[in-house]
Amino acid sequence: MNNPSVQHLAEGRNAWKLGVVGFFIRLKGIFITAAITLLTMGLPWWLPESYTLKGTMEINYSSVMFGFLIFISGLFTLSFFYLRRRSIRSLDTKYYLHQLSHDIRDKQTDLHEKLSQKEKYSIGKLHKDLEILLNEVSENIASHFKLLINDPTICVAIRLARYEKKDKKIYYRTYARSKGLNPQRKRNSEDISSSKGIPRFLMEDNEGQGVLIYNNLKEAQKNGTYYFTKNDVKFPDDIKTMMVAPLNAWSGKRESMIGLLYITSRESGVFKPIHVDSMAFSADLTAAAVANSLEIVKEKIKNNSAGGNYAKVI
Amino acid sequence: MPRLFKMFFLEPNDIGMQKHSEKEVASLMTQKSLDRDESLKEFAILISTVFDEPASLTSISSGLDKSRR
Repeated sequence: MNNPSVQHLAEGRNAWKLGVVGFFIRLKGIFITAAITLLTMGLPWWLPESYTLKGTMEINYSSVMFGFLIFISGLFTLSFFYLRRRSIRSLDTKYYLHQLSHDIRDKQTDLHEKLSQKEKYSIGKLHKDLEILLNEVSENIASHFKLLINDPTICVAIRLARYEKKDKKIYYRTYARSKGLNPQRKRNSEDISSSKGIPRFLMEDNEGQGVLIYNNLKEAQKNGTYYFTKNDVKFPDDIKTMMVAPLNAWSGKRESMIGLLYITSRESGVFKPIHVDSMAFSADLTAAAVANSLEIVKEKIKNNSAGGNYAKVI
Repeated sequence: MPRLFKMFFLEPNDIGMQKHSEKEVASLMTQKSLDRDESLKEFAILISTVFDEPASLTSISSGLDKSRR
């Protein structure tokens, strides 16, 4: 069965039931397979009912045992190699998960430290600090997904909401990209409007837990589920498939969609429903990191103007 | 044949994982003026102000080159 060009999915806990593998590990599948095996056990009609061996046959016992042991030990060795690979991969994915939360915590601690020092903090410094935070987050998420999916072409991009004074509208602009995407993308980067395409769709998804999985970008463009940007046209090999999740967090007075998280691949058929929860987790953590960093700065400004101990900020 | 296939091999829609179909996604992506979100506007103004200002050097303390705390 062909996958649709785009899927809007939420909650991947039951994704193990999907597809051919899902059939064989569901109880229904296990019972059907067992029943078919039992029913067809006596069916190979081409086999004769009995064999009669004439003459004598000498079997070298030690050779048979040697072959058997080589076969069994070979299987064990291969399974140990498989287990070794799985264990290293599993621990590495956890390492990058920790690295992700660790870097966010460190960056926020740094912000607290900088704002409580006597030196004046500035918008330019906040720009640099947020840039570093976003780049670290995107690199860690990319490393985590590269190991999780076993695809070295995975990349991450983060868009944040910005206000355009000219037309008084909100757009989403890319502020961070992990390494691997064409470096020229920054030059041609295009803001996307909040009133159509992915932002409008995810904003109106009131529960805000859905993740979009694009299996075929060209097909999605044809059926109106994706709008190409200049970079999509200029670098068609950069992104073949991708997942997009909303960054929902505190925007000052309420929870809003403050940005978008993209996880992309140069390969097709990479992203599956089993990755939905990992994607949602990464998006929520990123959203909280950005929103909380800005709230820290705002709170310190408030405290400062109220005569608190904090140094003069922004 | 597709019905027989669906009996055995489930798709996201069969387990309640799919929220919107391809057609619904397309219809919800067309241009529409959304309700004004003053809070988001405030956030967006802050982001534009911060990122439009040239970045100035700060003590770069990346978690990647920091020891564990």
